[in-house]
Amino acid sequence: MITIEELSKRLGNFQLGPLSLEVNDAQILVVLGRNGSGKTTLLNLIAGILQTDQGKIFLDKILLNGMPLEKRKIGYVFQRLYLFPHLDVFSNIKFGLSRKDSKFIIKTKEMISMLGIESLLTRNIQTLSGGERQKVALARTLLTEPRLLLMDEPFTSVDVPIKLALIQEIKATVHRLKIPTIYVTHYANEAFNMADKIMILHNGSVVENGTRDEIMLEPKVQFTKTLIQSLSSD
Amino acid sequence: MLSLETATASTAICIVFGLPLAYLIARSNSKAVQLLRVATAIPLAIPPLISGALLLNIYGEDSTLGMLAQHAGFRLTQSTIGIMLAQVYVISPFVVLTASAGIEKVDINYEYASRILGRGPAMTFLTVTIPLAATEIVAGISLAWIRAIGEFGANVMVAYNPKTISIQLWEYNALGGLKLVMPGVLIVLVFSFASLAFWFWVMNLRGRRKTSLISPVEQYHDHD
Repeated sequence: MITIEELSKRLGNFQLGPLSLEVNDAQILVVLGRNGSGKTTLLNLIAGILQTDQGKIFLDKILLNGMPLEKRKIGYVFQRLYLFPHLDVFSNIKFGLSRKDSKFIIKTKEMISMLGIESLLTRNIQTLSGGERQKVALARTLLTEPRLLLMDEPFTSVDVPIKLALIQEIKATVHRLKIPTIYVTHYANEAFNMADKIMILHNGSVVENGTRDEIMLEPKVQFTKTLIQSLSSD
Repeated sequence: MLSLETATASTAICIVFGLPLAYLIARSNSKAVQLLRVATAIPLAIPPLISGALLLNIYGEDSTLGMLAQHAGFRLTQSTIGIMLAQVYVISPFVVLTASAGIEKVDINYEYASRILGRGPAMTFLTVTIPLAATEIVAGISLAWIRAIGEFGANVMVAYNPKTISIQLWEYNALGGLKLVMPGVLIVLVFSFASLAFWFWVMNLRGRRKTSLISPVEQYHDHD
């Protein structure tokens, strides 16, 4: 479970928060907002790429503030994925695994099979399609057995049918592995497809926070109403 | 042979100390570090003979460092160590400046991705940053190595003996003219072209792997 208390960050003229949130194991929180609303900043603060100005971040009741990135046990699928171009698919997938881990081979095989990427293992990263890259990035992240999964608009370069299939795949995986997930997007359709809970950010502030149904049925602010109305045209 | 050995050792020293320095220069915005970047280029800006004279002031036999070294039982000038110190001084900008230029081109998010996947800063540097900046790093190392083999100006001041190939050729020229010099010149040229060929091979290897640092996915605009 991840708990964030009164988190805030100032970047130039932009102010994120203060915001608080809680995501339980096997739950998906979708952070929805327009470009520049602070979605990626929030993920970067949780991952440790940015340092918080104020507030506390707890993962399984352990304080993450000030902890080095490599010790946080977080999985982060970036918008641009950042698959390592000097390594092939297999080397990318096992990048985060410790050789001391005795179950290294079994776990890798299982993940490869689960995501159906057996045929890609020797391929060069540059030869993969958007959907294939996405699966490789997901496999690489999940193999480290993170205690929290962060996903930053990972389907930007994926066609709609593949995107829908991947969303279902991720939902099933997250529920099976029982890890809390924070998924960032600016597409309302994607958000309502994916979410157990939704937080809507606007200019760095939380304008709506609740379960998917609460937000769908009882939007509190005009901004959310407009977003929901846009669903049919999204 | 002496030139080959000292040039290889000097280049290795520059790799060990120069690559972390290059990383610091590439990734830090502090004014002190940027001043260090300028300081790294000093050997390029000062004529080699003048550099040699300055080095003699720092660790020559009459300097404090030189006397301390003699007291410890070794010499910092007129010795193999002296040759290597002069070479390290002269070639360090080639390694540090080219490597820092290469590292600057590597998107720092690759390093964040590596660290979030569990690798510490040192392992990330070795397994992600260096391979992604390999073309520039290899270019710098190749140029540094061949420059060390051919180093004359600082060496002639700091360590005339034992003689490196450049000093030997200079002596041969004084004694017997061009005829005596040419075999040595050809040897140095072979090494020069070999190092350039190595550089070209690395660039070609990376080209074939199409390891562009910006993946096709990145043509999409950032959304936050």
